[in-house]
Amino acid sequence: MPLFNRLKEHRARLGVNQQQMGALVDVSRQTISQIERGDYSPSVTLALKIAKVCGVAVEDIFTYEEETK
Amino acid sequence: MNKKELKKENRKAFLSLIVVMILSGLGGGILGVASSFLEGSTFAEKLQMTATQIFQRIVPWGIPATAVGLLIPAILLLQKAYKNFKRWDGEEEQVAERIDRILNKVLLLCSLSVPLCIFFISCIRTNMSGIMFVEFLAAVFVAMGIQQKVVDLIRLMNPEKKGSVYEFKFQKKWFDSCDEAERKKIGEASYKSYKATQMSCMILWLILYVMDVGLVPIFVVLLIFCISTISYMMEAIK
Repeated sequence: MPLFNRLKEHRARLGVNQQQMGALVDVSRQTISQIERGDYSPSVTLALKIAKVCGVAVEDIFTYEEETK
Repeated sequence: MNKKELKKENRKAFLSLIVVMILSGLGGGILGVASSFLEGSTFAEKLQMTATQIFQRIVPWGIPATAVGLLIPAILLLQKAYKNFKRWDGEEEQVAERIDRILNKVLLLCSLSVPLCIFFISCIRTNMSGIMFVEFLAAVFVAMGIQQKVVDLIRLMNPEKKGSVYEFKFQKKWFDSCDEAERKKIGEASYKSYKATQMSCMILWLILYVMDVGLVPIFVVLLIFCISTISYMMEAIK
């Protein structure tokens, strides 16, 4: 998956667990876990919500890198 | 993609389709000849009689066997899930994932047990005893109880989830409380289920047609096929 993220780092900086993070952005703990593992790419709305909660720009959490063939 | 590339792709796919249709036609022809040998023969009747005799022996033990084979393992797995939950600190991902995997197995066992019990009770419709009916009701209520316990545990781990298995609108309430990732997963699972239903209906129709079991079973299978197709298309059109 070409979308990389630093959500775990930012979550640790905020001092919240996955469940608390999920509650802040209105998603489940499992979704936060899937995003951190790279198994799920959030929608634009969710990515923006996460960035707002973390107090950073979206690009500071999520980066898009082309897959090398 | 331009028109030329599109035409080339379509031509390639069309050639493959022609080959599949020719092979299917040949296969259908062979089955047709085979079914003409079966017509008027005692093979289908013998098969039906044998199946009926086997079922008559199995059916009285069907519901207890379902309880032992499916519901008891489900209960044991559920206990394991609750034990893991007690040890979970709300942080450790591996424990949470383990609980999720166990609960999915529990739900699978329960989901299989109910249609099996319905099948067995349908088989003994004319010879049903009071004990068998009580066994059936007990199995169904135990399955529902297990499913409710699973829902309770999921809700303890995910407080945003809503609904109770005993509510009529449970599925809608549960779906409404799902987030985007969960709805995407439900969509993928639903599509796989749709494809499996379509394929199963076609295979069943073929078997029923060759076996010449009558119009009602064929009608039922095709009705399921139509309901599945129409509900999928209606949702896709929205």
